[in-house]
Amino acid sequence: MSVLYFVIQLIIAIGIAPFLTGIIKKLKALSQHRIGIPLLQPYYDLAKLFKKDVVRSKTASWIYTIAPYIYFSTTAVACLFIPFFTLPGWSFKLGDALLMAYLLALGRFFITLAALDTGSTFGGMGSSREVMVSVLMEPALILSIFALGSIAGSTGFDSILNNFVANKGMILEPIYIFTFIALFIILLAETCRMPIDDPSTHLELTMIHEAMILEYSGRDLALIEWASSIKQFLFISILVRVFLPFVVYTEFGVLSIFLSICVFLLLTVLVSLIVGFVEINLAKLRLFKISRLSILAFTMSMMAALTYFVSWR
Amino acid sequence: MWTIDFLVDKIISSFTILTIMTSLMIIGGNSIRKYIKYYSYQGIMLAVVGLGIAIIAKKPDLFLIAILVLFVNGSFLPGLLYRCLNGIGDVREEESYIKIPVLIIIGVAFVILTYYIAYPMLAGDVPRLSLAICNSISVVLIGSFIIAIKKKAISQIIGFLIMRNGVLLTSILLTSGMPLAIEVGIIIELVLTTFIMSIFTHRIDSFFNNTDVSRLTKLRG
Repeated sequence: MSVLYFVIQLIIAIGIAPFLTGIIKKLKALSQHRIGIPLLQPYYDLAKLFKKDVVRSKTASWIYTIAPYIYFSTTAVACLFIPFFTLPGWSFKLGDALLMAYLLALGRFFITLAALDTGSTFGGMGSSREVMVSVLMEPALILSIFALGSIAGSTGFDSILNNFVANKGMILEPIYIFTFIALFIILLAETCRMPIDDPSTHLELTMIHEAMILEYSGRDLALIEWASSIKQFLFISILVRVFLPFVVYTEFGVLSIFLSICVFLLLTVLVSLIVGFVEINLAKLRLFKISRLSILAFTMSMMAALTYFVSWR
Repeated sequence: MWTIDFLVDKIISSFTILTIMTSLMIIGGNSIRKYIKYYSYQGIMLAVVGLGIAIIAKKPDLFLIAILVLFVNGSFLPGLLYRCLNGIGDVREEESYIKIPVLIIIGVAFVILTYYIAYPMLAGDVPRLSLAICNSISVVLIGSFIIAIKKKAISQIIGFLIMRNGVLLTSILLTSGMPLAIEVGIIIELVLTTFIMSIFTHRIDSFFNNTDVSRLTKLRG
C-alpha cells in the first residue's frame, strides 16, 4: 500500500508539474492577445535541456555540482507529505507540514550556496534576494501551518484534510479564510510569481530566481527548472488539498483512487488558472516593498492563529 | 450543520475580522485615496454585519439601519472625503516616524490586547458573538492609533471615522440593535462631524498651503 502511495504520488508530482507551468504561461499569452507556446512546451524544453552538454566553471566546487540534484530531490520528496488522494481510514505516518516546509528550505539553502559558489555578481545578488524573500515569508508559512494544525490537532496534512472532511462547515471559519489569503501570498512569493519576481524575464535588475541559476546549463538547468515547477505544483496542491478537499470516498479500489486523482488534477488546473489570472492583474513590486506584502501575509496568519486561541479552545 | 444561524455567526465573525484587516491596511498604506477606498469597504462590511444581526435577532428595523449604513458609510462619506481631497490636491501621506511594518505589528498587538482583556469578560455574557465584539473593540483601538500616527488632516479624519465605525459595530453587536431613532441620530451626527472637519481641513489648506498637522505649530502673521 505505502509503496503504491509513494509511486503514484511521485509520478503525479513529477509528471504533471510542468503542465501547470504551461497552462499559466498560455493564460498569460492569451491575455496579451498572443497565441503563446503549446501547453506541452515545458516538457519539450526539459527534453532539449537534458540532451545538451553541461558546462561547469573551473572554479566551482562540489556544492555547485550537487546542488541541482539536492534541490530536485528535496522538492520531489516534499510532495510526499501532501496526500493527493485519500482512502477511508488511511493516514500515513511519514511526516508533517513542518518537515515539508524545511525540506523546501534545505533545497533553497543549497541552491543559494551554489549561486554564491562560482563568484559571479548575479549569483550573489540573486541569492541574497532569495534569502530575503524566504526569511520574510517563512513566519507567515509556519504560523498558518500552526493555525490549521491547531484546529485539526496535528500538523500533518492528512489530519487537516480528514478534519475538514469530517466537519463540512469549516469552509466558513474565519481561520480558513485568513490562512487561505496568507497561503496564496506565500504561493506567489515562493514560486517566484509576479508581484515578487517576474518569472519570464532575464532583466538583471529585477530577477531573483533567474539570477541564481544563471550559471547553470544543460542537465543541471533542466533539473532546476523542473524542481521549480514541482515546487509550484506543491503549493497549488496545498491550496487544493487544504481548502477544496473534495474526496471521492467509496471503498478501496482502483476506480476510487483514479476518480480522486482526476478530481484533484482538475482542481489544481483551476487553482493554477486563478494564479495566472492574479498574476496578469498585478505589477511587480519594488524590492523593498516586498516586506509590506509579507507583513500582510503574516498578519493574516497571525489573526488566524489568534482566532483559534480565542474562540476554539 | 448548515443552519442559517450557523452561517450568519460565521459570516459576522469573518466580516468583523475583515474590518480589522482593512484598518490595518490603512495603517500600512501610503496614498489617501486608498484609505478612503478601504473606508468605504468597511461601510459595506458594517452593513453586512447589521443584516446578519437583523436575521439573528429578528428585528426588521435593523434592515433599515443596515441599508442606511451602506448608503452613508459606504458611499456618501467617502464621496465627501474624495471631494475634500480633490479640493486640496494633496494625495500622499507623509513618511511616518516609525517604519510601516512595525506600525502594523503594533496594530496586531492592539488586537491581542483586546483578545486578552475583553474576551474573558464577554465570553460569559454573550458567548455567540464574543469574538465579533472583541474584533469591533479592537477596531476602535486601531482607529485611535491611526489618529496618533498619521500626519495629514484627512488621514486623521479617516482614523476618527474608523473609530466611529468600531463604536457603531460594537453597539450593534452588543445590544443586537439599538432603537431606530438613536441609530439614525448617530449616523446624522457622523455626517455632520465629517462635514465640519472637511471644511476645517480645507481652511487649514488654504491658510497654510499644507495639511500636515505636525507643521501647524508655526506661527503665521
